[in-house]
Amino acid sequence: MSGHLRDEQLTSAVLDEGDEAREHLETCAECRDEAERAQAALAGFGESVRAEAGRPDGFWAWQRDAILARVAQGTVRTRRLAWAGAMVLVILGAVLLTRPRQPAPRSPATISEWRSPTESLLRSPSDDLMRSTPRLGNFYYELQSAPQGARKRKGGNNES
Amino acid sequence: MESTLTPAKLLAQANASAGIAREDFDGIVRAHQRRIYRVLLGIVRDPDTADTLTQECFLRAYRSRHSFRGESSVATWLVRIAVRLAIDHGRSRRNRFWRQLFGGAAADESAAGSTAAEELPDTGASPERALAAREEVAAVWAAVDQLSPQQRAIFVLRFAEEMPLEEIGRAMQLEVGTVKSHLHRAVSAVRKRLATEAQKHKERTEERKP
Repeated sequence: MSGHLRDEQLTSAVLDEGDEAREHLETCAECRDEAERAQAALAGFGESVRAEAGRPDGFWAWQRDAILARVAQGTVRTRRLAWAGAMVLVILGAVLLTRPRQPAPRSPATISEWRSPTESLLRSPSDDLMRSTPRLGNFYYELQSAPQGARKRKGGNNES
Repeated sequence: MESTLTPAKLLAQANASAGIAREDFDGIVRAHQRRIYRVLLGIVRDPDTADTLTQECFLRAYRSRHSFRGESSVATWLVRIAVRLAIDHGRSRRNRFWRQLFGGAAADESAAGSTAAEELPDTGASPERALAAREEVAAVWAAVDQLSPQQRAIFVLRFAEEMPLEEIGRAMQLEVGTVKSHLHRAVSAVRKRLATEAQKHKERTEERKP
């Protein structure tokens, strides 16, 4: 390979990939220096993360307690919610089972057809007028066959 | 370090007694909390946020332990939850709003990079070399801050956790090729930043010369 590694080849060399780049590094001090410098910086980055994340034992114990407390709190809350849900279902069931039964609502057509029992006792005055057969003690009107100027006759206790 | 207690086992025990499950979960937290905190700190760059998200991560793990099928290790499963939380946190509009409102996001990032670089252990190098190393690490941090949350997560898992690409793929639910591609872009960005910083350093050194 003539000259130096291209940018992406150098990145492959930093990541320790690619045989061609590796071979070139063996013969080119400039590319090798750059790759090694980048590798050192990346290793330094890893060390700095690990160093920064180093905390005293007390921190880890405190964090663990906090996590377990939140887990326990969540468990208790879940149980309480489950209990509350169960209680609501029981109460609803009890209300449904114990409430008095009412007749099923009628449809509008059925209601219009329905008549009060007392209604049958009501009598229209025209019933007497339309009656065609004389009865004792009642007025009798002969309507159908009465000629013009027919006089009113009284059935039973008729007054002449 | 892997715990022998799997969430599936926890579930079985939780059915028997919630108390035992909590005790076992304590073992899982104990075994993995440092790693999860480290991953989150590398991504979110704020100790308080990393702590809050670590707690949230374990809480979510406990709640979703039923969904764990044992296809990956508990560590990978936890890292997956942590990375998702960190990415969601980074995407949060509210978070961005407050950061922009109080300004100096770039300045904060730069300052945080310097702080992180100061955490480097003493390797016994010369003061000049140690200073240069700190500047380079600060430059890496500054470059990492410019990456997308997903690329940043991959970068942290690779270089801070030294996870193999396959494991990163499982944790991020990505193909290995996609992980490689993200890593290439991230390292290219870091190299560009390093080159810029090196140029600045060279110019400063030349200015100081009489």
